[in-house]
Amino acid sequence: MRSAGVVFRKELLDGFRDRRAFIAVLVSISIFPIVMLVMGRFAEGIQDELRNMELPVAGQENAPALVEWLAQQPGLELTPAPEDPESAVRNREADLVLRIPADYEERFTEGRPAEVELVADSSRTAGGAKAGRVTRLLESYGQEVAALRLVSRGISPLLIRPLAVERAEVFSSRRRRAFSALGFIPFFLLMNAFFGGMQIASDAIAGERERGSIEALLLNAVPARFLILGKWAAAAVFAVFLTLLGIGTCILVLRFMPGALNISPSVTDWVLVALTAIPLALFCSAIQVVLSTYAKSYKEAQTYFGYVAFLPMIPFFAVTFNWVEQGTWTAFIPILGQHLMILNVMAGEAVAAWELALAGLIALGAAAALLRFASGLFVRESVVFVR
Amino acid sequence: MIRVSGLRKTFGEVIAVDDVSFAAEDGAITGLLGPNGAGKSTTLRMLYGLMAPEAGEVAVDGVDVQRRTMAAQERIGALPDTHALYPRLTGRENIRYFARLRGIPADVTEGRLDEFVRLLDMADFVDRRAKGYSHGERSRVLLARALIHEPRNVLLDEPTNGLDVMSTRRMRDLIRELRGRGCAVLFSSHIMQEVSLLCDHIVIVATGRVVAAGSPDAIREAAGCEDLEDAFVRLTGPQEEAA
Repeated sequence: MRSAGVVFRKELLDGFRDRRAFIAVLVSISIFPIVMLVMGRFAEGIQDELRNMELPVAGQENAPALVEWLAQQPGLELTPAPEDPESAVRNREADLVLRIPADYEERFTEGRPAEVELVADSSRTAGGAKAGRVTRLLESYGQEVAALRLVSRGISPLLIRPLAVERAEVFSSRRRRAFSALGFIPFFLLMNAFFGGMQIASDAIAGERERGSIEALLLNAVPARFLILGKWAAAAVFAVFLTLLGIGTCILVLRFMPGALNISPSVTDWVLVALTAIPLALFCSAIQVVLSTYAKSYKEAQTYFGYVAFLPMIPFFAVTFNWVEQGTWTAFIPILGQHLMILNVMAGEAVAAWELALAGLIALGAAAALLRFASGLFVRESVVFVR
Repeated sequence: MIRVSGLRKTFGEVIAVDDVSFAAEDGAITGLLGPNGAGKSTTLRMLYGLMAPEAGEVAVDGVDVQRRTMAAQERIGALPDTHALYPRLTGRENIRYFARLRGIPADVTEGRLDEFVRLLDMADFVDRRAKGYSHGERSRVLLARALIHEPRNVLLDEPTNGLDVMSTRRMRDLIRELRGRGCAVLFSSHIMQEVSLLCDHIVIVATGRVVAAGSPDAIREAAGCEDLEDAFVRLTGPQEEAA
């Protein structure tokens, strides 16, 4: 056991000195919250633009009533249209243009559907969102007119509304927000737990083989399980560190993320998240130890990590697309269970202590089994000497 | 002392080591001499317990390497043929790491380290990271690392390979000093001069078999050559040359 400590300290020192790799890890984990922040600001910007938008209208004189109605809508300012609406939109001089043809009034009075044209470029986010808002406005104008027409003929507008659909939502609004907007948090944390120890594991094990230093290491009368234990512990410390760092970033992102989210988990919530994620980081480091033991070189190890990189994504998609029913058993599948638990904590739901403990123990047990397997593999002749 | 008897190892179709037996006595330098690919490294790997022989056994100070690998390794200091250090650690840290793995108290390690630094003239580079070491610098650190626990049995796989004259001399001096302390030194080489200069006992291997063993004189006699190099060529060379 003492020798495992020696290995652990050496690998930590080695890992810290591998500065380029260390920085690469830090960058890769901070990219995600940065993207989230930028996207959040961007979405916020679009919301702002929508709330206060200009609408160029061509042929305003063809439909004075419609134009007057539109002009009364809050946050919508009608402006004269450019000469050629299509090319203006194409050249991004305008986000969209509403065109009212000359025969509008004629068709309108004859009771035929009066066409109006919306020139937009839906490949642009702002254009698409604005077109959506204008379309909805025009439809409600249409409904108003329809209701008036029915009333003037002595028919109740309710007649053409045979159903009134009401939705009683049982999904709490915080939970819904947690599942949609905060789905990224468990995903992001699991990615950190998963990849935090990658660098150390691949360098300390596959790199050891690649450099050939493994041969000298193995003749120091130290059982392989202690060598593996020490190397795993060093990788795990990095994984746990990056996971905690990830939690810190999430706290910051939530605090500074603009607008709609409005979720501020408590300190207890974050502690629960940490307690869920740490055993997982230990488990994931053990997976990397096994893969690194298989790999003949640092590069080969990185390739293997690429193959398993989808593992933390599975629960993300499983939850997003509702593949799994959330039942008791799901809590105990490593990665999936942690993903769901973190999500539940974010949604403000209680997580039982025994559930947390059992899921942690299962992850640790799986880690122990993987390490045991890796220890046997590490000293196998074909592993030590095939290069 | 190391006793090897009837060692055999195959890799698929290839017979790497075939019925190899010899002994490396305490207080003597034993040379394992043979051309590249003769099975020297494979033999040494079985000696320090990293490879399992298919037949035969190895005993280090009477401890069976196969059955009690850890106990045998405690009696061995070895320089394997992959002359690799940890590039991000300094020379001193590389040596210290192995000393700690061996459980040597820190103060003892530091004392021995200082001695090795003086003995192998390492003061100029031992506190620099190993990444930029020259071949000679690396070899000296590797040697100190292999000997830091003062093993009674020293196994060196091609220790002078690629070294310059000065480094080779230093290495030779150290090997002689180990003999003076009563260690059993076994080293492999494919260079005749190297072996004839140092060894009390020579074991010549070719294509996995021991083709001759004995003192340098005895080998000259057995091959019927005045020159040891001629004897080596005659004993290990291709069949047509021997005929």
